[in-house]
Amino acid sequence: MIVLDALSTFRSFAINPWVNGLILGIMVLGVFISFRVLNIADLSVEGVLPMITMLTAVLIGADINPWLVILISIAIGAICGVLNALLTIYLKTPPLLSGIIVMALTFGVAIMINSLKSGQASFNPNDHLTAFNWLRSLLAGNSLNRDWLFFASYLSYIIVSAFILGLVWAGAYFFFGTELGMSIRAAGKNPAMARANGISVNKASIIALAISGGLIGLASSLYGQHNGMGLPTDGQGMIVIALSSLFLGEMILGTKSFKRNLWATVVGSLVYWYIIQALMLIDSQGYMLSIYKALLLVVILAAQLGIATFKRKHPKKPSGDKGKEVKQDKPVKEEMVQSIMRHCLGERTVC
Amino acid sequence: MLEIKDIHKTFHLDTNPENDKHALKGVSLTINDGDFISVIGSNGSGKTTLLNMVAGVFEPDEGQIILNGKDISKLPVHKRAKFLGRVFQDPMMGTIADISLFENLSIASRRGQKQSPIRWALTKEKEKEFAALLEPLGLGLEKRLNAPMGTFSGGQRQAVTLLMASMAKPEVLLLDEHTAALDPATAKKTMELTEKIVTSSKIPTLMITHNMKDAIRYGNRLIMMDGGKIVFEASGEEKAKLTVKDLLDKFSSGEVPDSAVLS
Repeated sequence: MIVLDALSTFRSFAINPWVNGLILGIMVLGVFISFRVLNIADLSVEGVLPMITMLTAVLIGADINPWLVILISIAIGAICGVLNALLTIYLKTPPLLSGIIVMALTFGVAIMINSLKSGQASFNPNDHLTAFNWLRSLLAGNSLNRDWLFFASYLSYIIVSAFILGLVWAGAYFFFGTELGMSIRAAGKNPAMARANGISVNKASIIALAISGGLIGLASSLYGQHNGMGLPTDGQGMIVIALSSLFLGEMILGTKSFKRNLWATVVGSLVYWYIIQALMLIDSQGYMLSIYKALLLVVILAAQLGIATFKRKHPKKPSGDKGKEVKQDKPVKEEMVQSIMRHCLGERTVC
Repeated sequence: MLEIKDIHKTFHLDTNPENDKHALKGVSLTINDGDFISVIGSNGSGKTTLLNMVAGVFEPDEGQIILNGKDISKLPVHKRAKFLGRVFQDPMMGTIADISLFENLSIASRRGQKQSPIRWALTKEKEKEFAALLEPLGLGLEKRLNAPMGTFSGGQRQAVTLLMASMAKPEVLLLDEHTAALDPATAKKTMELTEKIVTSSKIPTLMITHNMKDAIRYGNRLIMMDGGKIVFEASGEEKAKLTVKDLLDKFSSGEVPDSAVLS
């Protein structure tokens, strides 16, 4: 009995974090684009995700081609992102509020689908084609070995979601390295500088939020197809998951380059789900999981602050030529303070 | 040639008309090809509003801004950026700290052109091109193209912003007290660099400054603003002969109100 328990624990450790981490890693990438690239707190994922998981469950249940369902989901997610951007641009609502409006709206749609389906927005993965089970059939062949069938189905989740995440990652890496992508990053980091360099900040935020929404739509659809159903509560705590994963990744990999930032979303997501899996050892029923997730975010934020403080107090000693270069650079703040002091001491040329 | 024609601007601070700030009261100015104009005036004289008006941050209530015969008064900032290069007072504003010098320059090199969604922003040719542009500055920046902008000093960042503002050959260069946040030695170096860039590229330039010496020393025209109007203008020979004392006398003789000097 104990041996069996250990085996199933091992199995869940080898599989679950990868499935969740890869599928929701796409969502983390989407949140990264709004939160880090565009520098706005977009909470709409909490509503968009359940809306699309439910829609996916309904469409897959109606035997619509799963890839078409994914395309529809990406389009709907992108539209939500554009709507979010337009609210900010034309109604001048603060971005946080625009995100909340979109969240409430999409959550309303989720509730509507739930009511129309009498709470049964679900399908049986054995009867309907999904983005995953075609691969499972391929891997399992005619085998009747239950263990192998079980393994094949998890392998199909991991392979398909890893493949899609890889595509999305490469696409994001390529796009944000192009001229347009670079201008969007500039618009998020320093709008005044971007405008002065001929970049339309409005256009940049529409494109970036559309991409972010599209990725969230993609992740939601895969999540729904994996779960075999959609619930209005699917989105609950998603922003906590996304931000925790993102911060965790940044803590592990740092933010020195854009490439690292992008890797941080994937690595952070996988590490996050491993931590969650470990927490499930002490809470096997999952009653406390949401509380743990919230506390985990607090711990991550505290650790982030701790690391930053430690780095400030113990700066790396520069060595060799690099050190000389660093020495030349007086921090700007210090320069400004000096200039103000000189100003006050009367060294100013006028008056 | 940039013509500013009888520009008016009032800021409505609240619903009470008594609190309206009439920032520009009919300013007209023509920036000819080859001009390097320095603008002085106290805080609240309207000089920054004038510059922001040209840059497109505000739309004028009345009047027009005409660039080479085309009315640009209604164009938003990013569309005007095609014709205008701008350096901010805050060294942090003109560049992005988190990304590299190379990336900053690549953004500026595409100013006013279409941003392609498929062409890489950073290429080997651009790296060489930028290094060649940075070398004449004499700051050794060409060796640090891949360092994050945040690791550069304020003076270096302003030098880079100057280069970024002028590299895509704008019709007019706007400098908004761009040495005010630097220490005197760096400010002097930055001013010398400014003159070098302006004279070699022959870009017409409008420079706001608090420093009367700089205003006299650099450029071929000098404008003094007060209370939303141009109150004194000198150019060519007349400007070359000006001294700080002359300018101060202008204030004390009542020609220009005291408020203009007590900045």
